[in-house]
Amino acid sequence: MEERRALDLILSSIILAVVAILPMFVTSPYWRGVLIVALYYSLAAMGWNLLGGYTGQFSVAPAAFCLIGMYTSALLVYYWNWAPHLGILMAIVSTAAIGLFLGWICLRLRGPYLALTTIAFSEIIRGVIRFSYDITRGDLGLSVPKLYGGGGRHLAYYYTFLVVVVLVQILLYLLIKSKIGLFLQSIRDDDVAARGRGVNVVWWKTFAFALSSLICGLAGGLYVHFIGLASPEMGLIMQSGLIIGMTVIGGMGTLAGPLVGGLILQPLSEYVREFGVQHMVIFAFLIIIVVRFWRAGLYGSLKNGLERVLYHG
Amino acid sequence: MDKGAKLLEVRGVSKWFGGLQALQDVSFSMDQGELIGLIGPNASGKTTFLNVINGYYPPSLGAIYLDGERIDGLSPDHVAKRGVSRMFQVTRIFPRMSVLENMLTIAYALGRIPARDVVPRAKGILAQLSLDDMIHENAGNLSGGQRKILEFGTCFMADPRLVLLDEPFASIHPELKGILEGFMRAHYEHGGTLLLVSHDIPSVVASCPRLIVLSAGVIIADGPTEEVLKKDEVAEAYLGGIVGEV
Amino acid sequence: MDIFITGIIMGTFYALLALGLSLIFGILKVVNFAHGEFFMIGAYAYALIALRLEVSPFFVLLPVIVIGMLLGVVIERLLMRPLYQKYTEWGAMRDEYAIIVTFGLSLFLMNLANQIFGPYAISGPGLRPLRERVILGDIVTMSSHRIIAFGVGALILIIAYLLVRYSPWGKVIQAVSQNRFGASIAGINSVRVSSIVFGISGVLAGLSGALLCPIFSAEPFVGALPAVKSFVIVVLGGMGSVPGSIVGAYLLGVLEQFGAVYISYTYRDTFGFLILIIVLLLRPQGIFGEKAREV
Repeated sequence: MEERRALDLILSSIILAVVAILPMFVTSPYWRGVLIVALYYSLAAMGWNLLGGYTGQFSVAPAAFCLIGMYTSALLVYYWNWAPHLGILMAIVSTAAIGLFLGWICLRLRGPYLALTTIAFSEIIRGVIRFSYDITRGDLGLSVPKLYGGGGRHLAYYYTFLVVVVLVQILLYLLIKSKIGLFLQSIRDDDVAARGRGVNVVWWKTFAFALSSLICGLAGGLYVHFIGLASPEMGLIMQSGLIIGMTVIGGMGTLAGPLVGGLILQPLSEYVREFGVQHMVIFAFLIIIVVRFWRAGLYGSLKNGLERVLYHG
Repeated sequence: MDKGAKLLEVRGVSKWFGGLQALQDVSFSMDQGELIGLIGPNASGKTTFLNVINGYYPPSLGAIYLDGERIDGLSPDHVAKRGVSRMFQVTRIFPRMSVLENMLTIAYALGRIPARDVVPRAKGILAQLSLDDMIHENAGNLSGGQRKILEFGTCFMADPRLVLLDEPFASIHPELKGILEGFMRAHYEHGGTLLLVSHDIPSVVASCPRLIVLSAGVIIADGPTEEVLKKDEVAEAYLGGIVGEV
Repeated sequence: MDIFITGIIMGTFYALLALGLSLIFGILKVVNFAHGEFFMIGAYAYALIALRLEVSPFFVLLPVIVIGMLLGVVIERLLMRPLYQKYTEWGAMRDEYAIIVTFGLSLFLMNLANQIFGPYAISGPGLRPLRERVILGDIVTMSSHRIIAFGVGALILIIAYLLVRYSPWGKVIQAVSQNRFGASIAGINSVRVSSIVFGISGVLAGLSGALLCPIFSAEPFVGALPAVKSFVIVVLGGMGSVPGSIVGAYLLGVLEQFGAVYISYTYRDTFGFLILIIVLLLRPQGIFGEKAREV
């Protein structure tokens, strides 16, 4: 498994390297913006992948945590004039805490019950944010300053997002490689047996929820200070569907799967939009097809194929 | 701990599931270094019994002591950390993790083995069980018999004080069974303590000096194997005296 | 009092929707996240057919039933088979497969409708002219469509319940629901049963959509909220429990109405979610559900 994980890391490093030099070829601000949004989704997908792909907890609430991250920072900056960086830092704290709480709620739940509870949770959060009109301006959204001021400067955002993605990726790699990675995956594979073998399932499930939510919150915090607007729409179940879909299509339980999913699907959906086609139709169709026929995801299948060639060929 | 000191003590354990009583006033004790066989007809409560010791269910009544400390009511991972390892009746391994990782997980979770010894020890056990050429293979790709052996191996990985084996020999190839029996016997001869639940009477009789018979949640016999087998209640419990069904 | 009656009426529609979901869960042990889209398709079918044909709206319900059945059967055939046929590939993750595939299906259908019909709502004709009102004694005044729809819905509900409980087919469904393997040994074609149950689910959801179409209109995302509510109901009532879902549906219908009036109108849809979380915290298997023995 050591070599296989190393392969995963190498492949994802290659992908990230490509992303790093992409702005040389992609010069239009519009498309750079698309890539930045793709990185946002990739980051959120990496967070979800930890919880769903590695720990087997199928939460349908990642977008809710992105939303919490967005609004934590947005409200602090808007009302108390905090600097955006600090707002984002606080976003991490709040999402970790609320993620911990959700983890506690979901401890004894599995499968559909878990999914439904997280849906309910997600909708409650979104509802509270929407309906607290006096504070959040509801559906109108909350305007916030951007991280790098005024207009343009896409490159700055691009590399900020990229650096964060790289750091999170390294963190996840080290985590999965360690014994914590073993514990999380054992919970995914068979949590009853895991308990019998000494894994403190309660503690590690909660941990996975907290860390996963934290990453989503971080993504949300960065996003809100790029777009300049906090909107409840980003917390719709459909957004969670996007995040999960990207992870699934890329490959659950792999390091680079979420990256691939986000980086391919976001630009793809923008591209398709130019033809007047509902990008979501294609996206959803892809989810169905991939999960029906290539359960390892696109990247996952590629990686498995490569492994077979390299290690058994 | 010295051989002969009391390791496991079960006092008056009863267990109800709703209106169904699975265990009734079960009491016995196990010394360090003993190998005890637990037999009984189907649905006699053997697996429930293991589940209670292991921590998956708290007993409705009674108490369980491991080396003097109460362990009933503790969750399975805490019981495991005190040195109790458990093999399940329906094989449970981690299918999407490699064979080696299956072994490593329990070692790191229990923390009873120094970190630098973990991998060599795992590889050693796997070699003894003839799984060493599969160590990087996903456990899910193993055959049913191999999975059972893997699960068996994980039980001995973390220097257990008490090993609970639930039907380790069921539906596996005789050759593989020989490997498991040999391993088990070696562990026993080195001072290990084991509780073996099995339907395979010949095997149990051959390996275990002491036999406990459970029927309808009640212990109907507990003593040296030879004597227990001669008891009428035991023959009756197995329906008309046919002792030795599989 | 009229709050209560409104609650009962809404509860009937919820029950129709929840029943299908519950049956599917009983048979396949999975939640169909695209259930709301069956509702949506029923609404569209009703609206479009009624607008094209010059027949009484009652007759339009018939093609809706057919479409619902077809939809359910096709989906089951294409997407759900792997759940029990290629079991080993997904193995421990079969729940996740079902969640992802039905979720993807939900997104697909919603956006397909958006693509084809556009985002604007289409309203279908009421079973009685929409402006017509009925006055019951001194207490209630409401559109006669609602009353009639309620009547139709309740009738279907009763028929469905009796069928599942007492008819030979119903017994077959119960058998497969309790023990798929055992049922197939007894000679029951479990695959065919799954097909039929999915079909029934499609019919019930589609009818629910059609009956509510004059009230809520047909638009691509109309199914989302009813779907989530039926999830809540099915969980509250215990997955796979038919009487449980029906009770849960009426409970939710009534509680929602009271909540909307006495607690908060804005948050009326949120109550269900809160109830769901609280119930699952206390009883992870739902109110009527059975606790599965883990080990």
